[in-house]
Amino acid sequence: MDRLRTLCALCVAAAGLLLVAGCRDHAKPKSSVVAGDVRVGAVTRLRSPPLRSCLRRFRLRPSPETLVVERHGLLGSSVTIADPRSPFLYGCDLAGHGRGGRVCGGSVGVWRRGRLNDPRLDILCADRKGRRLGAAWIVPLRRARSILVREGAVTERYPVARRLPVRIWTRDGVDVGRSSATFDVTQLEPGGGRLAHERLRAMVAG
Amino acid sequence: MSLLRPRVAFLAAFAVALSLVAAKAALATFVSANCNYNAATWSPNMYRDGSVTVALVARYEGYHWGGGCWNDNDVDQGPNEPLQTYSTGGEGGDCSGLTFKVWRESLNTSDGGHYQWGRLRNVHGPYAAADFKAGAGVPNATYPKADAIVMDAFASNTHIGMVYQRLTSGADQIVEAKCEACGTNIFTRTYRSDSSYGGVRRMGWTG
Repeated sequence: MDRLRTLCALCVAAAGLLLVAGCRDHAKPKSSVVAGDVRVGAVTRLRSPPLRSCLRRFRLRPSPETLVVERHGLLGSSVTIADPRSPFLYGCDLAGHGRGGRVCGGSVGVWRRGRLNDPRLDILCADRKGRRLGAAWIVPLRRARSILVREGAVTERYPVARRLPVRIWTRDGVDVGRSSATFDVTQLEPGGGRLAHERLRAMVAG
Repeated sequence: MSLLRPRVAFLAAFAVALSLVAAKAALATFVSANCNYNAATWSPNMYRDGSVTVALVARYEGYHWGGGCWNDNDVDQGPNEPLQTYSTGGEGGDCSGLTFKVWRESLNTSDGGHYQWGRLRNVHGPYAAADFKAGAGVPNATYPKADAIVMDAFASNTHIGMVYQRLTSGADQIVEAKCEACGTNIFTRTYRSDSSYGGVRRMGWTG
């Protein structure tokens, strides 16, 4: 009888411990933040190889006012071209880390009065292991200074440039079978405070 | 009284369940109610005439941004969708989704094989119009517009349509998913002489 009583007590204690452990607010795994590199300027000033490839791909003849945003990040690089005379926004994606690489995909979006018709997802690029990458634009909020995109244990920070749409990347979020990708996006204000968080689902379209 | 209560509870639960089913039906889109994600069937052959038939099935079935699923009843079961919106789940393909399916392409951009997708398979494929124009992917290549024949395509940075018939006037009859209001149909177009359009050929036709 004593043994039974001891066993019962042990069971109750174990259940209590499990309950306490289960209810505790588990600390989320720490996510390291990697900052992407960005260059912005007039098309005449930034005559880089990726930009030249992008102009060739879309057969663009830019005007001196054409603005270019070139980004180099963890999963890939991108070039965004905005011409004030044109309603279109052009983007080229280059897979791989660093400034090398060739244009593997691109997008064209309708960009009017600070609004973009669609995130313009591109899933044609792949990393060195052949895993498909997704790139899309996100329009920064008025006060946003940078965009965070969480990708597993790593978060990439994309600085906002000239309030143009920011070309962001994902690998884990790509769904090839549905020609779509999901991005875990947080917009930050100048002080680093969180302005908005969303799971952006984009489709290849048009 | 005690016998009445279970009956009332049962009737109330039944009414709630019924209203939930009705609400779900009302919220269902064409895609969620009809489309699937089945695998494609590989085929050793692909004929231009056969692809014309595939394209003609999509005729009158509507247009859906980012879409690639339609039936064959000549009715657009997702009309008047908002401009360039995928989430409304309407019927039809968009221009590049229609081309991908008619050209029987693979989701793997390195695979030039022929894959038959069911009408109700909701697939768009990895290419947008600008990608086709650039000849992206193993099955696709840029091609001189003057030499374009049936089931070759003309693509701009924002649109693509396939040749249905070349006209003596210099224009072409193009089978294309043009826009929400125009749907998927055959239209007479002058893409061949329009400098913003380039020629694109699906490689690997059997005949």
